[in-house]
Amino acid sequence: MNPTGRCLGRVSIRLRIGVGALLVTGACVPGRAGDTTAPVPIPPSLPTAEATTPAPPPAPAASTAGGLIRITTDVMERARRYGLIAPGGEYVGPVDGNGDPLIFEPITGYGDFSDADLFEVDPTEIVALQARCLQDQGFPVRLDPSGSGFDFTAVPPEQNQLAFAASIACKEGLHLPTPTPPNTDQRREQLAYLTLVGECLRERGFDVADPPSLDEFIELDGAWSPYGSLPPLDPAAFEELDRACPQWPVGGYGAWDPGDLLRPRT
Amino acid sequence: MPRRTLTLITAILLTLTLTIPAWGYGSDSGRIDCGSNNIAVHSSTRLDTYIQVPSGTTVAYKWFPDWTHYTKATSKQRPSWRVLSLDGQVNVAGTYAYCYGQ
Repeated sequence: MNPTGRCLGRVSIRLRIGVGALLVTGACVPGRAGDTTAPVPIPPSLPTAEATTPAPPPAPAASTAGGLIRITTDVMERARRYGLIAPGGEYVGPVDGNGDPLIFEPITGYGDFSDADLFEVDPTEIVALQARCLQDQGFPVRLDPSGSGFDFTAVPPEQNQLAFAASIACKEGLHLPTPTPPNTDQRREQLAYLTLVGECLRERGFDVADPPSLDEFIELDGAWSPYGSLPPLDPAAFEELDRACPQWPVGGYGAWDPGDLLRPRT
Repeated sequence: MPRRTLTLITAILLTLTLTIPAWGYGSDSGRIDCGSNNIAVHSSTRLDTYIQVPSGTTVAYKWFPDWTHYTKATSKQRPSWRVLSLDGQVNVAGTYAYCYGQ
């Protein structure tokens, strides 16, 4: 990770995916003339996180994290870049008390993954960084026991939209690269791991479909999992199963090779 | 700029656009009446995933680089739900809500 080199990293990844994408990266330069953003107060209808929640925990030593900076002009263009416009044109993101789009500048200082291979990263690391970013903004999100996600149930209802908007800003600040499908070797590795997961589920009495061939798995774009064979379970039972037979190797695929055993999450 | 150059640039941009995978937004939503029981949402998604119960109110977030299943219990009885992925995809066939006892 390179917390200080985000603009360069971002430009380089955009160049790899296409000239067209590069054309919309101008906002990467902070404080440039004609900047479309400005620090503005959160509307009174949406209290700030700091106003009604306990003081945030101390920022990490290396953090250069900023606060919430609302986008006030070219909002829909930014919404499009954040993926908040559905294919039908509908805005699906967070809104303020007036029903207007609520979008913040990326919150940086929690790492830069622009050059990462998403297949190799540890998903729990990404999730933990996002959760810490949100907690530093004063939102009491809680990591799941699996570390694969976090929940918002402790966030006051009147701040839910604000927390949703902040979580998007936190994710954007990590500069995750544009996703690409895993290559054939990675799909082979994934299928080998998922085959072990299927055996793990069978040992616990579940009727799990046989894994597809590698060609079928690639044809399915990886959308096969032994977990897809399970009936609806009590959420606690699902969590326990996901701990015993993790759907993703503990530490990510960067920490697992075909031939390794399936390791339960502790 | 010469027309030939413009045509070439357009062709390159079009080719690049077509080769970028069609990831980057997915959703599924619905309604369910669980009476006094709670609603759980099971999702099959890739990348960022927001679970919302009722629709629009985020109760959970998860992130995985590729397809995974996820079950989120809620203490909500309000009947609408939505699963949203801004960067990834939602497998509608593997995403649903159901009721569970307290």
